[in-house]
Amino acid sequence: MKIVATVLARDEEDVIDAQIAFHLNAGVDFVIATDNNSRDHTTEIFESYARAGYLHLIHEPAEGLRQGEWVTRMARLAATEFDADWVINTDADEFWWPREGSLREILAAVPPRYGIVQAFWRSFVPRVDDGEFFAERMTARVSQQAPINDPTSFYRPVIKVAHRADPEVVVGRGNHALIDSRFAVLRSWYPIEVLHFPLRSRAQWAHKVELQGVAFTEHIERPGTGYHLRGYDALREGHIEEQHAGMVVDDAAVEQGVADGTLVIDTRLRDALRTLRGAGPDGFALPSTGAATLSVPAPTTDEEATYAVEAAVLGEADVVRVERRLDALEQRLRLLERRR
Amino acid sequence: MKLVMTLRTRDEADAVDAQIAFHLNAGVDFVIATDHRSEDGTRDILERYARDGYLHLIREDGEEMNEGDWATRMSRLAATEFGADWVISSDADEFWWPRGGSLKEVLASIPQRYGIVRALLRQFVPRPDDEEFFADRMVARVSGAAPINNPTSLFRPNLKSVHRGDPNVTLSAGAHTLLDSRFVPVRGWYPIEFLHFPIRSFEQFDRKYRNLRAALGQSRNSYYDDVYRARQEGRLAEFYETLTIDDVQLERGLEEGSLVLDTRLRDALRTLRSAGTDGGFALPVSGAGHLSFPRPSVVDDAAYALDVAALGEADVVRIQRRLDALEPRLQALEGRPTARLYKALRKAKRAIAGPGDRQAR
Repeated sequence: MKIVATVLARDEEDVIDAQIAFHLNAGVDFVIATDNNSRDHTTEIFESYARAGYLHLIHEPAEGLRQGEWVTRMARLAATEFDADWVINTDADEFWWPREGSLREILAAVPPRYGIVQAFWRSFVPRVDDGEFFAERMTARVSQQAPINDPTSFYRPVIKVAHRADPEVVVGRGNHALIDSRFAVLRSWYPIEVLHFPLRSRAQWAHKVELQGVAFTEHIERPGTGYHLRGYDALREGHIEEQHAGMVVDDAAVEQGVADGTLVIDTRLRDALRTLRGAGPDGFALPSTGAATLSVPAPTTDEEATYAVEAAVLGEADVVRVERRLDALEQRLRLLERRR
Repeated sequence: MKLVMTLRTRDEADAVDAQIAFHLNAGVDFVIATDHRSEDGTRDILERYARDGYLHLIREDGEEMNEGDWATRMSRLAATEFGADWVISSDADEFWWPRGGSLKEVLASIPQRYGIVRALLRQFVPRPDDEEFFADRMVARVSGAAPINNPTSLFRPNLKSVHRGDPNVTLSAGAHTLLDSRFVPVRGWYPIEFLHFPIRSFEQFDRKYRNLRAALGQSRNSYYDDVYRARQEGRLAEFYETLTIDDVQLERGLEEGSLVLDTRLRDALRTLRSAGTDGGFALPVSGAGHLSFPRPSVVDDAAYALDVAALGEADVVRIQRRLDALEPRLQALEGRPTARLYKALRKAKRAIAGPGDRQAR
């Protein structure tokens, strides 16, 4: 059983080393990476993993963030060239956390008739940037009791998918679903959490906003994602600092959020990365034998119950999405009815 | 992008100046008002805004109140005469509060395919009246997460629609929803709250329901019946007392979580007053309002999501009802002569082409 992770990155040097090291220790056997014109040290980090035999690197010089196309290319390569049984399509700011054991154990437990497993996206809130490593600072996560459906919010309930390897797979933009897949989706079980750290520092945010803003204004026909557009407007109008500051959750707000249950302190990634750093000579330790070194203890009943409540929010958000589709259908029907 | 607010008033002199000033500073460009028989100075306030070019005034002096018709007329006028891209149908006791950016910015960010944005009701509770300005006293509201489902309660959760300008729009009697509209609403996201201050003092309460009873004729819900009965039986003051939240009740409500403190309107109106001259409210200077609406934090958003969930809008039962209604409509379309003819033609084509073709399809 072989798990291949794909990752698409552009200028993610503050997070990418930890991201790859984490997944290799959590049960991923091999990584396929697409480097899209990085100008920082991202390329060198990829190359060092490639030299060590953990990673296959694709240099993609094109502009225009053709995410779906590039991720699809990697996911197919995982099946055709690297003998993957399962593929997880990650972003540089995502850490796929198995609910128990390792990613390998989780995916090995999926019955053969299912080919797609849904993972629960868990967004960590931006904290004040004092120059420390992001995982040391970002230990507060949104704990939703009800879905935030604001299209411009980072914190909407979202799933990502892991899938069985398939030479013909088409991965949808954003890695939320496969397109026209022959695989059955295993629903209502979210055995993997995707710990998500989208906004790590002011500099990283401003750079990301600029890259996406340029991509969407100069290279892409469709409109950009709500929160990026909001950021890009702020960047162009010269108040990206204020815009960033407005999103940062300070100590007082964390305290309030924890007290009323909208935030929880979640140190899992911080602790895992500390363990890996402690075990490595310089940098993060890597598994030598291919055996996962991070093993997640079984959740307690309490933890399972809390998780079930939060996962139910995914269902509620789906209901809203169904309503939106129903609205569109009613609209089409109304037009037909008027045509006499 | 032009935003017009329509406004229906009757004897609301204690709130209407603040109401108009607030909205002009929050992103509303122009106001269309229908005043119904006001005798308390409301009309003077409206006329002042009209003279200053902010407002178009319609005077209704008949006995009867036609809330829906008047709101519809104003909404259509907003589209046909005043170039409105979006219209807010308001009452004098409602303050529309955008969640991040001005009202205009919030509405400008709505994708073209949506024509209706729903606002979430925030009901402020009556407080003891020490003659102070209502917004300085009324800083407690019903918590959305502790909904009151008693249908006769004034405080139950509710929504009200904001819509794109449309010359053919029709509004419901309470101006809360659009009737038979071509517009699609944004679902599950309520980027505007409307802060509602229906009962501000005994004098205002007494007058409001005396007027309303006469104007409405038959009551719309049993809350109005309760008020009416209390008046008939000479215990209106007593009834008013039961609605008022005193300090002890407030403290208990805050502890239990059924009430929350919300000073947003108080603070906004203080800002406008301190920027104004002679104790009046400041008005926008060359289009720029004096108020700013910071984007809520994720903690606020998560709490707000809980309040929204209490509406039960995203309810599977409702969806099933809508699906039930869709099916016969689709059937009716399929039964139309053109659809039947098309079906017959396809069948004939298949018969001519033979079974081999069917397999190939």
